[in-house]
Amino acid sequence: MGRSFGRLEDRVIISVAGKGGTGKTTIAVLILKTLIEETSKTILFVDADPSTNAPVVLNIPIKKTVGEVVEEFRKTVLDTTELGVDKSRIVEKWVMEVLMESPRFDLLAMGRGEGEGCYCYVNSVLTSILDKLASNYDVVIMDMEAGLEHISRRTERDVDIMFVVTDPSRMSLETAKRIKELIPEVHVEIRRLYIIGNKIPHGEFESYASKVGEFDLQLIGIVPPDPEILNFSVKGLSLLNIPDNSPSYEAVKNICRKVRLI
Amino acid sequence: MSMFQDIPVDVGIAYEGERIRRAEMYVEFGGPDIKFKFELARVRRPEEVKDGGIIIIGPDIKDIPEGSSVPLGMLVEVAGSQLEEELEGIIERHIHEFTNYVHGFMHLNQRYDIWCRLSKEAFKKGFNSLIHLGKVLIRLYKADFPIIEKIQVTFITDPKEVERMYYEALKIYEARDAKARGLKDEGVDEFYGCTLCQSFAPTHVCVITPQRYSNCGAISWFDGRAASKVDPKGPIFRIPKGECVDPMRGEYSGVNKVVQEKSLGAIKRVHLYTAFGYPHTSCGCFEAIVFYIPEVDGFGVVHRDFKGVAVNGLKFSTMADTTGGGRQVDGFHGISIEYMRSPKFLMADGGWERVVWTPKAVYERVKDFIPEKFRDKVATDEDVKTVDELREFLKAKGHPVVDRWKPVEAEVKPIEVKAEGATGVALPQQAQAAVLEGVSVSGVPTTSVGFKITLKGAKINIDKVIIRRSGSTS
Repeated sequence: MGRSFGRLEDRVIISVAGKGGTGKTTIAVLILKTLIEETSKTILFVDADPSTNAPVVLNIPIKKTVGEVVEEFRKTVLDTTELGVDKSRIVEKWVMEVLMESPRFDLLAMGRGEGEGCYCYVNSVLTSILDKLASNYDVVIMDMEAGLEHISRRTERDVDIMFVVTDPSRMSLETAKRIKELIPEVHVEIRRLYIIGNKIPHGEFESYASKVGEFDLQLIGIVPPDPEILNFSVKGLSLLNIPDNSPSYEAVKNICRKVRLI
Repeated sequence: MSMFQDIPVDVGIAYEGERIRRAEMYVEFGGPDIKFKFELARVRRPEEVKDGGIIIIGPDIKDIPEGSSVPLGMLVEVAGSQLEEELEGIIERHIHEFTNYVHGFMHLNQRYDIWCRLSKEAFKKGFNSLIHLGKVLIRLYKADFPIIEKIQVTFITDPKEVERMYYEALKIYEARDAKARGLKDEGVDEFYGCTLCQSFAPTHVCVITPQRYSNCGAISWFDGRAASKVDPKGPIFRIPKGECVDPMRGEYSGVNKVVQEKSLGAIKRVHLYTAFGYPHTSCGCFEAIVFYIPEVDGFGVVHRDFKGVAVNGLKFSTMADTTGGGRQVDGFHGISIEYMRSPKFLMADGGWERVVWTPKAVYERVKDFIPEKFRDKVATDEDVKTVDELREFLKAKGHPVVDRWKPVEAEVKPIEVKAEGATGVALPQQAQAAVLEGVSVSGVPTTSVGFKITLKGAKINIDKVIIRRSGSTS
């Protein structure tokens, strides 16, 4: 990591968004696979979707989510009798503890959001902890929830590339459109926004492309339906091990090449 | 930095926040897999410290197999004519900062729960001994703390020795915390303010003192000090205390000034230790609400997790709407649970002498801090459900508020004035005088025409108010 630490300009933050069910997590994991296999970059994969699907798709059992850490902090540390401790350091250590470390990438599951009570302090602490953590990696991939709330709440960092995953449904394109419209309202910059059409059958590529055009959105690539994905999911295998010649992986790799991630 | 030329890796503030990934670490000290670990700073007599000394008890980095996790104790001993034991905590906190300056060294958390990693890259460059870390610490301490005249650093990696000293360190942390708890508002020059909640309550400014925790219960005076130092222009900032205008109510000129600025003029005066007059504002995040119960002239305290109906017939959520929003509301006061442990808790109103009800869950958390003579006189939700039951309970227990009832009842009879923001709570005479001071009053039943009276900055003492319908006889 010393290789990249301190060189901000080399770092890339990718976020993958879109309507639920379009295959955000699948695409995000295939981007991760591309970067693992085609580069030597260090990667942080953030599962920012409260449904916490990524650990399942990656077959990495998680100990705890950041949301659970926050709850635990509020329940235990706030009533501490240890007046001389710096509470933000405790949160920082706990976040590091829930980080799942593997040789090529680390996984952080954000989990569900807030319950009742005051989260002002812990949230403000958490934002800076997560930003600090993220700055240690060459690439951060964020698997987002449908809305843009997470961007506003948990990070102060600009997003270099946002992929919005859509599928054949019109609703998914409408969600994509709404995400694009929301961008000026969030306080971080989103530099590039691309549409990835997922599960689009062969032969419908062209008509899909023109449909995306109607929504005034930029299509960067199309991922065909891939039975292998379902197969891996049914067997509970990590999608990172999907064969290199699978059509979905090849399509995502192509997209990464187009946006110069590899 | 040139002062670190002999250290095999870079040292500088730029590396603060560096994380060493497991795949890139050479060795791990402490952390989740290791039970015994600690760091400790002690102020010693000059003859006890060998200046510049670095002692290693147990295997050094080069003797530890790559990829392993080992125990670690770090002891920083300092001496100086102006050094006092009180500074140990501050000095100890800097171990985190200073060790993190080392490129390739990660340090997390504090005290008995530290977690450090050294990177393979740093090891390869020659950072193969804790001596290097000791040198960095000693030089940075001397540069940042001129009052440190002598300093020596001891690293303990021998498991038995770490375990032995770990238990000693725990005792020292405990003693330090006990002392910290004894810190008084009178004993410091500055308080801290927090405006993190202004997104919900734009005029709310939390004033955090040694004896008054933030309303949310998250930020102690020590946390405030730490946060304001890291980011002085941030949402947690210094409040120079200024002159103490009223020691009983807790009014300080510095607090008034800063709160006025930060609330954009909405709040002009704050009395820290009372629920009346100019009470501390309430955001939306308070852990508990102090609510005045006029029928018994005492206070109830209900906390956020209490799902039932408080003794006054209201739910937490209902009272929270009245209390919050960054206003000064008489008789409804947002607080932290920790503040209930403070001797300054509602001091101007009588403190625990006036508290009559709280849920059992809160009672259990704070009971050791209730003065003994009142401890068994405070009713909980298990004892009473209504104000009538409460009144009987208080009488039976001989709660001090009972003594307040008779004279008040005799004098107050005809008053029926409503204070804005107090949502129809009929206050007894004394409290009402406080309400009227500087607060607009409306809803006073007057003639059939009906108008609103606003009294600003007026001081009113009422012995008797008689309000008659216009035109009625006698």
